[in-house]
Amino acid sequence: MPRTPLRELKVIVGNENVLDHPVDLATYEYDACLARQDPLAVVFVRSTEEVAAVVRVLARWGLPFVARGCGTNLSGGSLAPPGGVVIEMVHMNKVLSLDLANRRLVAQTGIFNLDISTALASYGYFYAPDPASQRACTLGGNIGENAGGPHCFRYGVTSNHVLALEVVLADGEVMWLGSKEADSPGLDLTGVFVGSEGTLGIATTAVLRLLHLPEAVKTLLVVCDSLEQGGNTVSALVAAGLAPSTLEMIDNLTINAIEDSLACGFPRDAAAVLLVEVEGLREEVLAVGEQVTTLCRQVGVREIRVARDESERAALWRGRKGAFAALSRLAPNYLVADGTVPRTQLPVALRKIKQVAESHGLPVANVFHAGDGNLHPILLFDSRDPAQHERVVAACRDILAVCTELGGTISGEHGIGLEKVGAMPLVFTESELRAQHLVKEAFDPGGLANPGKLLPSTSELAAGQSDQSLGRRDRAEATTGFAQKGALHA
Amino acid sequence: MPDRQGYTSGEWASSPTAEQQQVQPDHPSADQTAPPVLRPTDENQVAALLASASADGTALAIRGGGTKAGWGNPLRRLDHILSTEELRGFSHADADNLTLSAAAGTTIAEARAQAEAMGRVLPLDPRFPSRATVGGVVATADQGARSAGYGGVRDVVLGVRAVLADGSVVKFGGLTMKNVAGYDMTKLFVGSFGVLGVITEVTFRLLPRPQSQCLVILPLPSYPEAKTTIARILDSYLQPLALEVVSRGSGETPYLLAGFAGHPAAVARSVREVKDIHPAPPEAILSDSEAEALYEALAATGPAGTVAGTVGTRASLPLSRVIDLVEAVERLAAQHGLSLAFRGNAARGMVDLFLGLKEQKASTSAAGPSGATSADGPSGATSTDGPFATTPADPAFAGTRAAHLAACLSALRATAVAWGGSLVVTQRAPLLPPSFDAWGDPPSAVIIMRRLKERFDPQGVLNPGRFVGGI
Repeated sequence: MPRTPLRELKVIVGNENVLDHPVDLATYEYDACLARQDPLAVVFVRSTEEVAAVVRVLARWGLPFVARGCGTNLSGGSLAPPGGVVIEMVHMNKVLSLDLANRRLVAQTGIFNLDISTALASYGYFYAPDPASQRACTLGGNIGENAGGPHCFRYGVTSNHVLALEVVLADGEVMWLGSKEADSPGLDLTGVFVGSEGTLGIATTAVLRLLHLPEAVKTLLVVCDSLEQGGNTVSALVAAGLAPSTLEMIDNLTINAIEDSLACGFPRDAAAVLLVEVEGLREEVLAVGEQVTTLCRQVGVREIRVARDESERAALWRGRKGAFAALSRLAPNYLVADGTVPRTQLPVALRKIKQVAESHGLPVANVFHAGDGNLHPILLFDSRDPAQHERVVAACRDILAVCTELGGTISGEHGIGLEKVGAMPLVFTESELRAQHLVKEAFDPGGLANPGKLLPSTSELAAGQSDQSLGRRDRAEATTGFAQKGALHA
Repeated sequence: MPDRQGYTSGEWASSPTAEQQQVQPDHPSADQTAPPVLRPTDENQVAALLASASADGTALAIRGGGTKAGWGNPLRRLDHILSTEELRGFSHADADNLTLSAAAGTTIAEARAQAEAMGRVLPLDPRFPSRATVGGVVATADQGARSAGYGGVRDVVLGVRAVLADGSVVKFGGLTMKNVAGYDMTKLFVGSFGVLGVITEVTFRLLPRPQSQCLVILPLPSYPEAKTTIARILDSYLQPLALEVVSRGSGETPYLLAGFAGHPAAVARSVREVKDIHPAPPEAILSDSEAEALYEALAATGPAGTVAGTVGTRASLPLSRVIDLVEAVERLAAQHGLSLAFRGNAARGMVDLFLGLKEQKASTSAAGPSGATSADGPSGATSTDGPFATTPADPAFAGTRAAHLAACLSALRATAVAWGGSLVVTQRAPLLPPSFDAWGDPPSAVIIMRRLKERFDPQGVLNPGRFVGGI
């Protein structure tokens, strides 16, 4: 029987853990961005050893791969490379050890983000990064994207909470980066690996830093008369040195979408609301809560509501975290831009984004991490209309340009993926892109780990291209993928 | 209230002004003659120097204030010292966005003063802030007592500008709290010890200035009590800015310093709770400027540069092992007849140890025992009183004592490694055998580190040999 990569993979993980039928593969041809790409195969893995064995086979056959959790990626980073294999991590979802005395948890990376904090709650600890998709997204995906979340305003992003990683490199070699300790000798490879979007290898196990749950939490809903007032309030709160744990903004369009689908108690007539949360010692929460209230009144907001109990608080968060899903009621498709700006520039950024959306004739919703200056303008459209599709891509590019002009950047937490790879020259010079290629080469000289994502290719650099189209290669690459697959199956 | 000097003027602690009196740093180098010092005044000059060094294979030692010159291994080769001290000032300061960009040669003290003037706090607490530079502190990721609240250097740096070995200028990260465009190259430069490029500017995130702060000083009559108190503070709702075990020397038991900052009511509550947790009453409670002064004095503990007779090391450990290591080192120091000072950061799992030769007090030669002279500082620098000044006069005797020191350090390193940690040399005394690697056995990921070094600095001209695994 001739050897083929698929047969070899089946020997490693068993027939039942390799999907290669087109119907099965269809489930894996998309993530949460607009692009699509069918994989050559999907391989379910259950241990680091299996990942290493699978990757060694792929390396021998020269097949590119991507590790995938639950496909919540918003920039196309978890789509298969053309002709490549998806390594599905969701079965690697175990907590391997919990060391409360040292504030460490070791887990496999296929675990759901929310499951980590749920497992910890009864001990009085938590894992800080809490992306809105935390019910469905995996730790590995969070590591790949350096995920944030509403609470990173106070606690920082994923890279601030991941101390060490067990990784499988693209040649199948397994090694640990970092250590359980806060400081370990050598270059901070963990820091570089977090946020590398699967292009440096596959993280299979992670050592996480745990935090003690706060003693008290106060949740405020600040109702604003205009989006600009909301932006001004955020800038004022940050400038006053008040440090709430979250500072989220939700605009009118989003509020109504949330209320239509979830009925969480947001005021439908508000131009925007700020969801502000203060955490810490009782005394701190009381004092800072009052300072926030005073300052919001000075800015002239319409109303300040305080969540009276845990169920009111939970309802507000259910609304915030369900916002993207709720918006899908309004249009068949949406595109989330993910630019960041210095917090002082928020009011300007919001005004300019509105202008951009209007100039392209697109409705835009805003629900975002205002305290971090991380905008999420959501452009609503119908991808069946090619003209709308073109307009949305152009509008997104213009929005990212607005962010970079204001001193910000093109992605705060959703990653570059496929979607924004063409926009990288907006923020990086050729030298800076070349330096990043040196990192890629040091980890993955063969170029098999999620190629085509995050970095424009070296050939594009050499050609001096600064193609700023948002890297929309879906159909063309899908065709290539099919062709290659056919050849490999033969 | 006792004089705060009581907490810093032990056998091993330097006086607050001693930082300026320390022996001038020698760069760790196999070369016995003082190499010429290059002092670029702007980034373009740095770029030109690096491009030409790469072109003709000139080995460069990268230096800021020279306070950590004894950190790491002696350079394999050294032709010139590249000093960043002339790169100074602030290109960006935005109080409302809580961001500050400082040129690499700016001292930490200057950057702190700038943040202070903005009504903010620079969340860095490295050793020797009056001489240590922004670039040096970021390149070594040196963080001290207040890292319990501030986090590591990697957590407070938002962006870096650097010149790579080929002379190209790069900028990564920036003014935003979140940035996932491309690789997190900023992390690669933090703690890279100058082996990948020369940092020319750093952007920090600032913190709001706390309305009040307090330091509680608790006596630690026994280590089991210390462990219990620390564990209970860490497992409480309290959020210490610092939680540090500090030696006093002269056979006295160490003390525990618990620092808090924030709203006055929250700070007061924290102090009350710490008093409730600990079985013995506090020796002192310092607030605001007094607390600040003690932090400063702690940061000036131990010698700067290369000093005869003293080895500084930093152990990284699980939190629960900090007191265990302190106990182990006290036992080993007594066994080997060495003097000892330590600071154990119980919230970060980091212990700074200073081990030295006792007795044999003798005047040191200006040049130090290695014969190496200060590269650029005033020659004839004198050492201070105390153990740092101790120089073994008799070579045979010195050999024995040095062997004791090396044996003690090896045992400590083995202990730290067995607990999952590490021990690195932060203060290399000339009497330490050259075979004693400053970093210990490299981790398996050193393969990747070497590949990065080969790609970023193919001629091997930046701090050759100083870092982990001979990088």
